[in-house]
Amino acid sequence: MDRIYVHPLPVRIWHWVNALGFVALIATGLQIRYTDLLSAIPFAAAVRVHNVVGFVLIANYFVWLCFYLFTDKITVYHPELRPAKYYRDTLRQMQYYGYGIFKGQPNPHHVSAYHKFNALQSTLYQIIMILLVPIQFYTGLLLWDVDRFAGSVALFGGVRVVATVHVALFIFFTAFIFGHVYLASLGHTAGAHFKAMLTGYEEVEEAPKAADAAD
Amino acid sequence: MKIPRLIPAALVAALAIASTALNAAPPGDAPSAAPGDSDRQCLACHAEAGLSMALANGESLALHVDAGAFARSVHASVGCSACHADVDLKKHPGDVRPARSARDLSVAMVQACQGCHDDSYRAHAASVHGRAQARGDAAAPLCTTCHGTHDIVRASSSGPALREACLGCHADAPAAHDKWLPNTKLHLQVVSCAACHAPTAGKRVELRFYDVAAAREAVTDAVPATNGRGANGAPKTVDAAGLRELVRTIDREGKAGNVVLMGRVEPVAGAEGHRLLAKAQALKDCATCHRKGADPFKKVSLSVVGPDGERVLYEAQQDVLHAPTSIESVRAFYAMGGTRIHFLDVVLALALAGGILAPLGHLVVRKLMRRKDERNHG
Repeated sequence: MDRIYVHPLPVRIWHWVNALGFVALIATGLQIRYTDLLSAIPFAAAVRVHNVVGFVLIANYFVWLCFYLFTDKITVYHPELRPAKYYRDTLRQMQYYGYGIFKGQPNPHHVSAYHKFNALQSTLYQIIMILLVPIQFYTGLLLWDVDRFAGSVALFGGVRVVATVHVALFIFFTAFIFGHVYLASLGHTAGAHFKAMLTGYEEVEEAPKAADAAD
Repeated sequence: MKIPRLIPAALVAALAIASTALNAAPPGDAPSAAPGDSDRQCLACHAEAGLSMALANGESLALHVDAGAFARSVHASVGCSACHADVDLKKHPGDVRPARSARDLSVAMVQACQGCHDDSYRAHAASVHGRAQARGDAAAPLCTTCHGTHDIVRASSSGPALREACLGCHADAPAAHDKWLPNTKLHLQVVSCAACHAPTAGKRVELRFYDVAAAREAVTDAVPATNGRGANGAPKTVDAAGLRELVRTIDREGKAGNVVLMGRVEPVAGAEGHRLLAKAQALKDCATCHRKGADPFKKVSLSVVGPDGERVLYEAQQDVLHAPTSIESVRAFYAMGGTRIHFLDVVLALALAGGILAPLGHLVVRKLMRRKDERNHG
C-alpha cells in the first residue's frame, strides 16, 4: 500500500470541527423543535448552545472557503474541467454504489492528491458547501435575532418561511450524515477513510503518479 | 414584492405535492357612535380644547374630552352618565367639588369601572398591582393608568398599546428580559405582558393583518370563508384553507408582499389578564409556548378591521398554525416547536428512517452478496 497526502491540516481541522458541530446542532435542533418529546437539556440552554455552535461553524466555514480559494487544492473539486466526463463519472459512481459494489466490481474512482473525490462526492459536496450550508447558516442567523434582521426576514418571505427552510435543510443534513458515515466506511477497510481524515494520508494500492501529472 | 411571495408559495406547493367557517364573535371595537342628547350636552363644554380645573393639591386636571376618540371608544354606546352618574346636569358645573388630587379622582373612578367590570376588578385587587394599591402605594396602577380614560378600546383590540402602558412604568423590563430571554424584542412584540405575568390566565393567539410598508394594521373588506360546520350548533371557524384564501384575496387587492398576518399571544379573557403576579411568579418556562400542544396555540382568533374601522373577531382552527399552508398564510408568525408544521415531523421521521435503513440495507446486501460470491468461488 502506498500512502498519499490528500487531506491537508486545515481541511482536517475544518472537517472535524464541522462534524462535531453538526452533531451538536442536530442534537440541540431536535431538542428545540421537540421539547414535548425530548428533555435532555432545557429549551433555553439548547437555544444558547445551538446559537454558539452555529457561529463557530460559520467561522469554520470560512476556514474551508479560504483554504480552497487561496490554494491550488480547489482543483480537487474539478480536476479536469470536463463537464461531460464529470457527468458520466457521476452516473458511473452511482451505478457502482447501486450495483457494481454488490458484484465485487472495483471502485471506478482512484484517489490521488488532486483527485481525491469521486464525481458523485464532488457533486454532492459542492451542492452542500456552496448552496445548502450557506442557506442554512443564513437562515440560522436570521432566526438568531429576528428583530435585528427584520428586513432580511421580510425579504425572505417571513419568519415562518425562514424557519421552514431551516428545518427542511436540517432534515436533509440529518439524513445525509448517516449516508456520509456509511459511505466513508467503504474504503479498503471500514476505518481506512476515517483514519485518513485524521492523519491526512490515504492508503492506496498504487500511487497514481502518472494520473496526478495528467491532472 | 415578488420574491417573498414566491418562496412561501413554492414551499407550500412542494409540501402539498408531498402530502372553513366561523362564528363571528362580537365586534372587537364598537364602531363610531353618534353621541346621544345628554352626551352632546356634556361635549358642548368638554370638547373644548384646554378645558381644565385646578385641584386642591394645586394639580391641573384636564377636563377636555376628545369627542372623536370617545365616539370610537368601547364606552361610546353607554354614554357619559354611565361612569359619571354623580353629575347632575341641572346643577353642573356649579356643584363640582374638586378632588384633592388627580390620583384621588382616579381611585374614586375605579368604583365606576367595577360597576360593570367586577370580574376584572376582583382579579386586579388580588394582583401585585391591586395589593400595592391596597398598601397605599401611590404609584400602583389604577384602571385608567393602563386603559386610559375616554378613549378606552376593548383590551383584545388594544394589542401593543397595553405593552406601552406596562413599559411606561417598567422601563427597565426589556433590559431585564434580555438577560435570559433570547430574541427579547421579538418576544415583547408577539407576547403580551399579561400572557406570562398573569400565569394562571388562559392564553390564545390573535392573528391580525399588518401593512408592512405603512407600519400599521391593515384594513380590508375581505371576509374569511367559513367551514360550514355550524348546522349542528357547533361554532363555525376559519380553517387553514379558508385563511389561505383570505390572504390570497387580500393579495389580489394589490397588497401582495405588503400585508402579512402576524400573531400575538394574549390572555383568553380580559379579566384574566388582570391577575398579574410578582415577577418571580411569572412564566419563565420556554416550553409553555415552544412545544407541541402548547395552550396558547389551542385557541386561535382572527381579528380583521374593515374599512369602517370596525373590528371583527373570528374563531380559527388550530390547524391554521400547523398546516403546510401556514407557510403562505401565517408567514410572519412562528413559535419554534409550538406552531411547527406537523407534516415536516413526518418528513423528518421518513428521512431518519431512510438515513438509517438505506445504509443498513446496503450493508446487508453487500455482505450477503460477498458471502454468496465466496461460496461460488470457494
